[in-house]
Amino acid sequence: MVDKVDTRAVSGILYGLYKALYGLVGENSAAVMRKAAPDILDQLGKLGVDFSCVDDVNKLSQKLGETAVNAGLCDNMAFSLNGNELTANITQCSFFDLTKRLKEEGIPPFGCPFAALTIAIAEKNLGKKARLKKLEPAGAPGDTMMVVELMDK
Amino acid sequence: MANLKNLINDFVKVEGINAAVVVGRDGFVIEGISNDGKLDVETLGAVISTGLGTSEVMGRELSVGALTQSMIEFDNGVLVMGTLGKESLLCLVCQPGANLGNVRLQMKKRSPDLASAL
Repeated sequence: MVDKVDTRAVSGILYGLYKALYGLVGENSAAVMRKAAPDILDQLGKLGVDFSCVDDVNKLSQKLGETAVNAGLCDNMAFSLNGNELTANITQCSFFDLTKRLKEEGIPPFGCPFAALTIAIAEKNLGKKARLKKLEPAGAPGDTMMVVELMDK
Repeated sequence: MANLKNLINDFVKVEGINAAVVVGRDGFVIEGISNDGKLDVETLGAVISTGLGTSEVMGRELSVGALTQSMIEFDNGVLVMGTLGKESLLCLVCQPGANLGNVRLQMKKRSPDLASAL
């Protein structure tokens, strides 16, 4: 079980960090998230949010979805695998407004924590290479669709 | 991707070039080869991407236009980097004594083919 996250405070911190990062490395900021994600995963494990049991897409859906919902990061997270594309529909994403604000300032959604964790878990536990292909609003305001491309290593 | 692999393979046959890596701006290693096998190209993606990213931002802040090529000299090697279209980057790891004029020329000549193979 994870604690609820104060998403407003986190959004404020992330806003500043993402903006500064984008100001320093521009379009390539996404590489920082790729680099950070395995450490985030390890640290979450040490803090008791362990994803090591995730060894297939169904478990990824269940575990990451459950963790995100329990932490108050979204209302639901549902994955589906279609060929080599892993799609996640995130309902009422807590970072939706943050992403929207950054986009309005010309900053792409490179720092999505759901995408970073999905990619890190896919690469570490599922033995795949993974890359964010799409992240965009979908459905009701606050809902987001994320597509991660999976490739054999 | 097979064509991309061939093109990258051809790069490391150029005298003085030890490794060639194509990475996405997100640090994803699309293809890479090291001719002596000593370099783990998979670990380089994020470093190359952010390294070049800083130079691109510098260019933007100084109003000198878009980055086309970047070269960094170290004690034991030289990195020559450039963009491949909007989404990808190429990094060549060269020996200290490499003919950098030729390396840069080869990069300029071959980059369009690499970009279209992506």
